[in-house]
Amino acid sequence: MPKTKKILIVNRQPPHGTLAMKEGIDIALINSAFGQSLSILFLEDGIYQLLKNQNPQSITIKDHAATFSAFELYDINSIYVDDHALKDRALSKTDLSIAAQGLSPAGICQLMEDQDIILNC
Amino acid sequence: MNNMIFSLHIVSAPYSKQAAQSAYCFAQSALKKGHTIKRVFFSNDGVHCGSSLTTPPQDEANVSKNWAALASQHDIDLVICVAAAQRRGLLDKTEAERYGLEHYNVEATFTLSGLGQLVEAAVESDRLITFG
Repeated sequence: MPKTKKILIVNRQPPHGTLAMKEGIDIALINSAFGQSLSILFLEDGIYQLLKNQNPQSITIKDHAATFSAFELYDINSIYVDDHALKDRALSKTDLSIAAQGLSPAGICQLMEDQDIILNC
Repeated sequence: MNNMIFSLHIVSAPYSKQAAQSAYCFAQSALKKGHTIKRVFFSNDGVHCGSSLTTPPQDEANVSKNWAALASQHDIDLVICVAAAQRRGLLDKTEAERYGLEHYNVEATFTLSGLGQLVEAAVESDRLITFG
């Protein structure tokens, strides 16, 4: 697979209740393993995926958030969060389990504009 | 418009949502206009589109059979995400044997494979379109 494309994974759904988070992480890791130029954006309720100290085992769900710490090993460094989504939920970047760059609506538009492919998870 | 290569990504279950049928209609129209459908990748609840055991009433569309027929006719690669399929009880003969299970239920035209097939489809097609 010689070609490289700019791929953006957009996570919009909260962490539990569906498998969206797990499947979003899997798609991110595999894209990176295949050498694609990858960015990840957390929008709307998707930012809850990044909250620290989750304990989903108590509702029989595996702690997929632990996988975020593997992003660094996979050279996934372009991680973005919607600043407004954080503010609307009374959260700040210190509540998040990994380092992420905050983006304004204009910044999000620019990020999307720059991509070849956008995958919503 | 020049002819394009499309790949489709289906993420919701047939009969629960319209997505798989919308994707099918899109594929039919694109093929009619001379475009190519390289691959259809089924993940998340979309894997249920590959069940050979769905038996809807005769006057309703049979999603898996429709996809299988279209794929055979136009040489489209139908790939089901193996991890998503295993969670949801969709197995082919090889996977059933691997897990020591008596039954399997993936329509023969579909292949079980990994997410790498989605990445490859994204990279090698002009457009990847998600239905879900």
